[in-house]
Amino acid sequence: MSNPYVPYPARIDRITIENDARDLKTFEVVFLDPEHARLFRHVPGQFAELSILGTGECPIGIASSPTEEGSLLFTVKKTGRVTDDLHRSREGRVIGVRGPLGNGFPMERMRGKNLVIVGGGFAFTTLRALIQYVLDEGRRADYGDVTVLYGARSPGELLYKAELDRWRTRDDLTAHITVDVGDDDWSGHEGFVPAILGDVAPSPANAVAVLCGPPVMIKFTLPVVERLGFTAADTILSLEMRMKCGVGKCGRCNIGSKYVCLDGPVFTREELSRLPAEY
Amino acid sequence: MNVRMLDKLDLPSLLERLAETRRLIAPVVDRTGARFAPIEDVASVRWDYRNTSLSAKGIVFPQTEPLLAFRNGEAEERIPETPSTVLFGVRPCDARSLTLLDAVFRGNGIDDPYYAARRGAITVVALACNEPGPTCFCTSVGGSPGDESGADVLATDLGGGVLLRAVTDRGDALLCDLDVGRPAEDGEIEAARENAAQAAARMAPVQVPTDSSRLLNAFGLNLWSDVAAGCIGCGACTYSCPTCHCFDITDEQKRGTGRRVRSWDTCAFPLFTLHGSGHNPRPAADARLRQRVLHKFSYCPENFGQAFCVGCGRCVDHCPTGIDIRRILARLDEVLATDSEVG
Amino acid sequence: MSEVQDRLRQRVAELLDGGTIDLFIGYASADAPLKTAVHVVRSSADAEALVWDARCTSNLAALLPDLFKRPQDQRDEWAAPRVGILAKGCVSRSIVGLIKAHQVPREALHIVGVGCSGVVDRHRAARLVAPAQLSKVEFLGDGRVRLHATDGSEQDVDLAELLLEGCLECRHPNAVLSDESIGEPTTAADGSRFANVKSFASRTIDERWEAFRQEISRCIRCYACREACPNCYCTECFAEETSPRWIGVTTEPSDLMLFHLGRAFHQAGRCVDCGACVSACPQGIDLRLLTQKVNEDVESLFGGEVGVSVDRLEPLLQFEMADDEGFMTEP
Repeated sequence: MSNPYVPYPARIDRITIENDARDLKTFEVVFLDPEHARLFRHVPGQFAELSILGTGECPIGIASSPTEEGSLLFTVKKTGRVTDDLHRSREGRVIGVRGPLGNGFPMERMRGKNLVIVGGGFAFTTLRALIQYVLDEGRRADYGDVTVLYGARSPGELLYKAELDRWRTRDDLTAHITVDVGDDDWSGHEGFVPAILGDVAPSPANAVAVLCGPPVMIKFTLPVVERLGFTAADTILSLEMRMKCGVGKCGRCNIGSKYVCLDGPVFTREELSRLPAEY
Repeated sequence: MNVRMLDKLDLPSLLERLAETRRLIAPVVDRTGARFAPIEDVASVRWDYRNTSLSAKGIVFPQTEPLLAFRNGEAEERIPETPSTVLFGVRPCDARSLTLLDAVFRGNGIDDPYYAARRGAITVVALACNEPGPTCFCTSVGGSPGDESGADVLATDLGGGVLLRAVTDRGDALLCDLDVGRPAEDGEIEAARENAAQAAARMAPVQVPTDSSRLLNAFGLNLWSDVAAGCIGCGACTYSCPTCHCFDITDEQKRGTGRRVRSWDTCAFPLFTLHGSGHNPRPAADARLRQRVLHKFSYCPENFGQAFCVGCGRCVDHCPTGIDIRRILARLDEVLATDSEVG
Repeated sequence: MSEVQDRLRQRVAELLDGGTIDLFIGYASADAPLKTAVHVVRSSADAEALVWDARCTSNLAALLPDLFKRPQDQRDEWAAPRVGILAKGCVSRSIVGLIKAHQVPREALHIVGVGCSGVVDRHRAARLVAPAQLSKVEFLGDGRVRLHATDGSEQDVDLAELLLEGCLECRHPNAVLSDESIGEPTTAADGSRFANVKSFASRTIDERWEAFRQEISRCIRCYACREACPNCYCTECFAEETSPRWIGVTTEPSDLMLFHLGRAFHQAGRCVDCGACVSACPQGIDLRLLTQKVNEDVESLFGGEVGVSVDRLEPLLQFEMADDEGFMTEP
């Protein structure tokens, strides 16, 4: 059995600055060893520990779908020591990747269902993986209607602008993009995610809702989701927690009898209701 | 399985032979009190100690453990080279704690190679207790002064001699390999059992809530801020505890060369759950003490089938402000039993 | 002692019932030899559990700063509590320090002073019975104590043999600042001040380095010393800073030495030698060796004593034009 603490070296091939504030960057990384690439089979919703030797590690959701082969995408916000260091990278730099970690979205359970995908701010990253996966040519037929609602503070803060444009033109997906405050060029929705969700009012019939966002967005969106009729078992969230080992040993992400890095970060609302409210 | 009787006078030469053929770790006594140390001079081994100030967990899970070494961007794992070791004279509570640590570090389908290397190299010769310590409560948490779990050999001091009972194949092999003493007589085996039973009888029982899912209902109770009023948020309880196992991972480097190490950490520290955003899911001592207690008596039983407490009493001895887990457990047990609103 | 204890219980009940205070911080009995628990009393019925004797080692002032921090989830509805606290000499000096450092508001405190004849060092007692452990301790009166050990042995010793070393040289056993007192004032100890430093300094530099290295090698970075100390109220300790990382988190020699040297120097002009750190340390490390050296230096360089006057700022929080600046040009 391989050592779960050893990161595999990967080269940063491309860095995309995602937002006007320039504190969100997407790193496209490629494993140096093709064997490591082959072994890294992930599911949307999983994360990896990005490792910078000498500085540390940070847990980052995988923004690319496993169907987008050849590289992995990680969208990282600059918040602390490790992410700072990462942001100072140039293309070509080699970092370490440990993973895939966590449980991912329950893709099997979601087959045949309509998907209502709701994201806010930079928590949208793993939802990109989910959406690209579902839209993949060989898989689209496995899922019903796909409704995406994504909100950010302003147009400049939206992630994946190129994908958003492409999604808007597709007829097998309905994308509602909203900003808190628009600008002169903005033609999408204007308003907070919970409010727009209430307006769009997707049907809960044979549907699953997937939510990723900052705590304040989740706090106000969950009641809307509930009001629309989605059951707790069909409401899926991704939790953020302080993590270190990523493999359920160090105890840092422990909530109740669960480890967010092992049993999560994806939980249904029903599972969360059985956990102590300390996250 | 072998059960052997060794004359006390022959104990030093047994220790000598152990120290010659293996790495011997045994209790010594110094300014700190008793502690485990690698033995070079067997005369320093103290067989007559009550218990060590810190638990034995540091032998398989050291306070500081390098995980990776790196140079110029390339990392190598640093699995510890562990010679064949005998952990001699550890109390049954500490021996039992090794089985609990095994469940964490070697469970969930992921084997921690650093722990595995150290753990796999040791043969545990536990020493049964002839009397309980003032804060001991192993019998209230599924253990006992003569408990065999975690031990490869269980020794009992019978005064003139030491009874050594093989518990596992590994322990049996050790006793055969060293041809220790002579076969024990039935009376001696019985005396050892009596010793342990008497020690158990003299231990004050502690009320411990054993229904781990009902205990989860204690999460929302008001008593935590009262119970945690004196908690100053240090790691004295956690670090002296045989079963606490949380750790931090940090990097150190100097001009391109460095290492990634793990070190003990504790949920009692405010920084433990502090997010980069400033949000802290456990902002005050009441939530943190609650986590420690419920983790040991509710969450771990749910995951591993046993409470993560062996009743050694060290946390009670060492807490600078006198917080006593025995009192907390008794209070929880009472509240859960009488409060009909609680689950 | 028990008269003082009875009066204390009565008085605290009165203060709570009368609405003078919202809570009282004191000590209660613990179910382990020579230990007491910190006891926070919020209703007069709980005052019965308060004790006052030679086992009361914690520096209660360490609990104060957190009581005056507004909780995360409460805004306007939070008001500073009125806090009563039992203060032996060193505790009151710590409170003086916290007031001057703006960590606790004087007007929110009701200090009940009490004279102290010294408190026990559980490590000293443990060493007398090692490798057995203390099973029971009886205070026989007349300054004698009977130690019962787990090996069945008993020994009678003088209380003075069990006291924290700092208590033997304590010049301020009574509260220097209080709103009321209980019991008669106690006379100061007459032990030679900075005795441990003087004795240590008589050794060669190599001996001292080796002794320091060995003493500190037992540290497990539990931070009990830091948390037990009223002066360590920083929200982020230098030892845990990550940007920059001043010291590592390990128990390797350089990290240990830097942590303790750093902490000792941070005490300069603030440490009142209460011994709470020594009591708190699970490994029985002689932390006073470092802090007393720093204290001695501060006293000889700047004069005055720490924490006796609310009006005089600590030496390192003030300056005078005549201060020697030679350290800048001739280090």
